[in-house]
Amino acid sequence: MKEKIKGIIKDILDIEESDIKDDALIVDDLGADSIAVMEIVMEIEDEFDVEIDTETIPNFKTINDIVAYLEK
Amino acid sequence: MKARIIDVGKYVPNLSISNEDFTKIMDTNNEWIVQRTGISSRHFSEINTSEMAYQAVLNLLENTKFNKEDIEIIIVCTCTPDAYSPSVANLVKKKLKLSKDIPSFDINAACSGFIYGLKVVQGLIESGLYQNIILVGSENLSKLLNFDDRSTAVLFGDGAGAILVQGSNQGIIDTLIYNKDDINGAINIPNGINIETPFTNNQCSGPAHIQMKGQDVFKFATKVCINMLKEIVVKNNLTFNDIKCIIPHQANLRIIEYAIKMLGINKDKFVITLESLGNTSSASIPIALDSIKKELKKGDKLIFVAFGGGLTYGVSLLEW
Ligand SMILES: CC(C)(COP(=O)(O)OP(=O)(O)OC[C@H]1O[C@@H](n2cnc3c(N)ncnc32)[C@H](O)[C@@H]1OP(=O)(O)O)[C@@H](O)C(=O)NCCC(=O)NCCS
Repeated sequence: MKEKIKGIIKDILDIEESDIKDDALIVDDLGADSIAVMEIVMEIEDEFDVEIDTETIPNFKTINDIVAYLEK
Repeated sequence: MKARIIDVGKYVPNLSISNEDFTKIMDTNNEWIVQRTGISSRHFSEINTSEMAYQAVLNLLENTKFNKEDIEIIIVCTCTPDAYSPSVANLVKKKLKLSKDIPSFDINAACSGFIYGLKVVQGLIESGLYQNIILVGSENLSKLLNFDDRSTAVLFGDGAGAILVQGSNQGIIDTLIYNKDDINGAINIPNGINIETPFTNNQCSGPAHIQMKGQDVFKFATKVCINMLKEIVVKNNLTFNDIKCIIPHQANLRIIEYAIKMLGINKDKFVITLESLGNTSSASIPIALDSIKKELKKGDKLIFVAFGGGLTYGVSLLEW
């Protein structure tokens, strides 16, 4: 799951996968703007066939946060 | 009989407001707005929706040399009318000073208005009821902006676009329109309408302003934009290679770019005018059409796709 999420983030932000550490901050460290975060969420929804409430998006600071949310 | 768009006209107000201008009245900056939306400036109107619609119709009549007396019906798509009544279409008809009484009415489907209008026009022409229809998208959104809300105030602009549609052997091929319940109140222009009589429990509200949950709208818009484009080509046994150009509702460049990426379509096929106009709601598609009409040849296939408050959405496939 983590690898798939990293793949999505890599594609959207156009960065190297090796730069994407599990605890990297998606906005501050990886350079996503608020709309790129939305795009990441939308692709995760498609990939994992889930519906993510937009109100929970501000909680997704790192990849670990996203994984924890999806595992719940 | 098909409904064919013969020509298009537009009206864009002179007053252009740049992102820089916004920095003087609120805490914002050009980089934020351009990066998140693609919008650099927009036009604000000092005249109301009906006068803008009228100016677009005059421009159309001048372009087509069509005799105004031959217009059989006038339909205006707008969510920003001058008044509860008369309708904007009634006002446009009055300004045209026609010698006959012809019907005129408005359609409100927010930013999808123009697609809803096309569906109605298509039905009126295909059924043989009318042959010469004026369809206008006109919006004065600036009058409904909340200049204390930086996340919505920078997105919208004013303008109008008008088309002449006539019966022909080619034209609109297919139009699909939908309405999904806006359960979370993602985009609204509430208030301004009070229930207030000496006999009722009065319900009064504040001034009418555009309110939006930007992320919910972003998600809705991208999803329906992608799905609509896929649906209309598949339904009509076409591929995107058969399409000369796609005119999406001009809400946000990031919505359009995301759809382009997910669909794998060449960006050059998409007409984009929002940089200098912002989101002009139901006027955005006819204004964008006006900007490319000289490049179009008879038989070219086009798609219009829109989404907006309601939550309304729709798509139209046509042959020029
Ligand atoms: C409106 C939109 C650009 C906002 O982008 P977003 O990524 O959702 O931004 P958010 O609302 O989450 O705001 C992110 C931050 O930017 C700030 N911000 C919002 N507007 C700003 C502006 N004009 N200038 C500077 N900062 C702004 C917010 O205050 C927020 O700051 P905070 O995190 O410190 O609170 C985006 O949601 C969008 O375009 N949605 C679709 C809207 C649309 O097209 N509607 C019409 C459909 S017909």
